[in-house]
Amino acid sequence: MTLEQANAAALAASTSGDLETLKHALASRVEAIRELASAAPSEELAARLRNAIGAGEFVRRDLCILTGQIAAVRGALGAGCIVDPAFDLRG
Amino acid sequence: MSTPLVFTGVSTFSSDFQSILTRAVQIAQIPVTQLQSKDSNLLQQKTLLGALNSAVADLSSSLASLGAVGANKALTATSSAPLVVSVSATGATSATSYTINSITSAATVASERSTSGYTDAAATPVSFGTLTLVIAGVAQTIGLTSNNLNNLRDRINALGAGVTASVVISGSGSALSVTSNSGPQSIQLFDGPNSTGTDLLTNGGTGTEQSTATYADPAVTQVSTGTLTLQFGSSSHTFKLASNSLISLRDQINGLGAGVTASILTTSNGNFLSLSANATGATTVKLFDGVGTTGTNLLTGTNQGTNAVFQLNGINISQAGNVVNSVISGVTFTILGASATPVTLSTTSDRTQLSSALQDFVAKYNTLKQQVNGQVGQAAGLLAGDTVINQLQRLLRQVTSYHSSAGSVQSMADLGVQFSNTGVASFNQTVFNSLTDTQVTDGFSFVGSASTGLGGFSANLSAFSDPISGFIKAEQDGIDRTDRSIQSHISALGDRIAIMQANLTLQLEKADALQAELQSQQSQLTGTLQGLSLVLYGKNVNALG
Repeated sequence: MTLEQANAAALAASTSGDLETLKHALASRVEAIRELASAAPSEELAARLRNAIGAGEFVRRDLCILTGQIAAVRGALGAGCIVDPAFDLRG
Repeated sequence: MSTPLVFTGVSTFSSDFQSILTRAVQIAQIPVTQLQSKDSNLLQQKTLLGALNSAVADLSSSLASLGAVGANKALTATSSAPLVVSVSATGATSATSYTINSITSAATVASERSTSGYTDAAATPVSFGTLTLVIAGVAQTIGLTSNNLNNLRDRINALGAGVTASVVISGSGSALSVTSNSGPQSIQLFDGPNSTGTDLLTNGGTGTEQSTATYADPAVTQVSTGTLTLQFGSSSHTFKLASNSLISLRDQINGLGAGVTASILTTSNGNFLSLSANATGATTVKLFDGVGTTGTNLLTGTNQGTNAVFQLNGINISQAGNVVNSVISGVTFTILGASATPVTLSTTSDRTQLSSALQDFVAKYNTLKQQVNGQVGQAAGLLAGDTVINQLQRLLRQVTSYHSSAGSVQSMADLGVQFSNTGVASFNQTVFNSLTDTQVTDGFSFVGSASTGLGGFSANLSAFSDPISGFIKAEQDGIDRTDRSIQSHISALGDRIAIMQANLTLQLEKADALQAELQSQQSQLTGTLQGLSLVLYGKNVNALG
């Protein structure tokens, strides 16, 4: 998987809150990053790195949203609701 | 409750996740806390109801006592000579007096002893063997001998002589069988104190011998002269079948259940049999030696008991006991001794009983009223609005406003019981002391009885405080049921929270790990970009260009 493909997969997984898929995507991404180490310096490589860093920030943002979802759980509980034991954070 | 969560993350977000997770669990526990609070309130309500129940029961009891005072008009009985005749009121309903005179005797128990003393209480014969005890003309025969086959068997077996005796059926009667415990040996049983008497056994030499004679009734038919000698091998044992002694006589008499108690008086002149009737009253206690009453009476005849003999208002009365409770309704008196001087028994109303009962009522009323007041109004306790409280409030108002339209005492105020503006009761002793006898009598009518008048409220209150079927008990039972339900609910919620904790922990640990991984990748990419920028441009360039 190329770095771009791994970034796309990670973004898709983080957007949907699918932590398991995100885990696999980040594993692919780290492999792709490792392969870049042998690439020749070029403007194109610099652009790919910048894009990858940007994509990573989006994923980081999504993970923050995930914590927000937990905050939403807290809000529901505060309203006196009993959380479903099978609560799905991806929801 | 739930165990604290411990979340060990590796990213810079770990502490945030931890706080969120902890907070989430705390919030999830809010319903549990609410339930626990509700349960705590319920249990406090139950405690309050318990205290209330005691106060209600106390007031109910006090009103019942007040009613009892009214019903018997606080009558007490007195005797002009309490050492001669004691008296007590046991439900008298009118004041009156009675005269007891010519008290010839108080009832005493019959008590006799044997005319002769006996040297050895356990051995000296006291009779020919059969006696007749006569109590109040009823004769009972006592046999002191045990000269029969069964006793002979038992006595032989008790010797420990190395043989075993038994009674066997033989023809139309019974026979004695004696068997050696150690094989064939000579066994002889002589009728008499030595071997010169008749041998009562066969002489087969097999180790088992049988009586040569048979006996019609093993429990009755005489088997010997009373003394026997068992010869077994080279050992000889002499024993007696008779139990003709003072001790045996005492025990047999006591075993008769004849209404007398026998005992042995040991003196320097020997042992005497003493017989005392178990109850007072004139009777006859005689002990004849022999069957029937033609023999010698072995007992003295000096104290055959006496009846209580006296006159009540000129009527002759003689009775076995000293306690007289069936002659005057509601009065029990006891003759304590003889007296030629007339004794006056009087029943009179004791107004202090009414006064004390009213004071007790005031105290119990105030206690209950205070508890009820604590559950109403702005500062009401946990029983605010409770049906029992409302009903008790109404009932207490009925009690305090109770009045009668008859007689000179028509309200509690007439008896000195007053209520303040705040409902606190007090007893005015001065007002009570100023009551005339007629007013006191009317006061008895006013308080009624345990079921009527003011005292009748006792039943209304006991409907609340009855420990089995009372309203308060029913409410406490309901609280117990709710408590069990809440506890069950709390337990279920705890289980669900525990599951939720586990799920959240897994999710958050996973998210934290991904954050760490992402952070690492971003750092690596940034480093690589910076290195590339140096190569391409000779300087670091911002990661995003």
